[in-house]
Amino acid sequence: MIQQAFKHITDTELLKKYQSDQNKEWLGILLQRYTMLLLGVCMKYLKNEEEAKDAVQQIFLKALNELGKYPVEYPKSWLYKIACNFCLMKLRDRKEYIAIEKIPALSEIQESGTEINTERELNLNLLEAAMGELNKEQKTCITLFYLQKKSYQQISTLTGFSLLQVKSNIQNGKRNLKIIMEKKQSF
Amino acid sequence: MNNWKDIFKKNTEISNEELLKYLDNDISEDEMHTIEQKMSASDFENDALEGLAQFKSREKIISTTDIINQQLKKQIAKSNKRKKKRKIEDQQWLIAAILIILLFSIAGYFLIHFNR
Repeated sequence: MIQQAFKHITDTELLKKYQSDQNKEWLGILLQRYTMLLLGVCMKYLKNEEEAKDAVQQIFLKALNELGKYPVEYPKSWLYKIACNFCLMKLRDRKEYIAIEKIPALSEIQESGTEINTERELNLNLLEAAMGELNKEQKTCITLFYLQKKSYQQISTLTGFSLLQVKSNIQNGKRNLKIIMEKKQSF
Repeated sequence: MNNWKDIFKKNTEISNEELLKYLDNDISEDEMHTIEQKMSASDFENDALEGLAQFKSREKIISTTDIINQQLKKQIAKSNKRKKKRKIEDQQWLIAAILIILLFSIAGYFLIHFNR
């Protein structure tokens, strides 16, 4: 109910409200927006329901203590970073080094704002040229997903790739497209 | 060609309801594609869905989320109460200090006045 009432207020505005009156209720509204997402992220890495729950509670404690102290431009990205970092520490304690490798490097986690610039500057001719340089699997998955609007499951059926392969072809393809386009733009 | 713009589209939020519906496969192909497009624009959502899919049941996701939120509310209420109490205590000290100064001033006045 409360979440619905404050839906129109952005995360940054909620944070500003907290910074101006120090009422932690604002932080509560902000954090509850991401409870389920954070639970999912912690479960992905810790693979234990109880530990994932405890992890989110610890992350919230940290957020309640630190969100007012430091300037945070994008609270959502900040929370994701904190969650990844927390899971990394937990896995280190467990000495599960293999799982740690699967966690994205913190530097790879994008701030929400960076996407907007790319969209604004998107040059379709350049994109088309970059698409030609992708490998066949990535090009097929990206074309089916973005141009033909197929779901992961449909792409998997059409191509014979597993769902995981489809997802990673799309993610890696996107990343490669960005790199190729940036290279072409700099020439 | 217009669809290509979606590749680097700014991330739009996925609601909890959408997440659960997606996990239950309880949506049309179009809705599924929309959610997957949002997922592909954000590592956060992508990781979260992968993790949520590992829960034993959807009910467990909902109940665990509720427990965490309740705990958070309690923590915030406790913290706000403590802050309020500290504020009142600070005010009490201030009032006591003012009263003492006032008392000394009055005593000083009478002392000087009667010594004359």
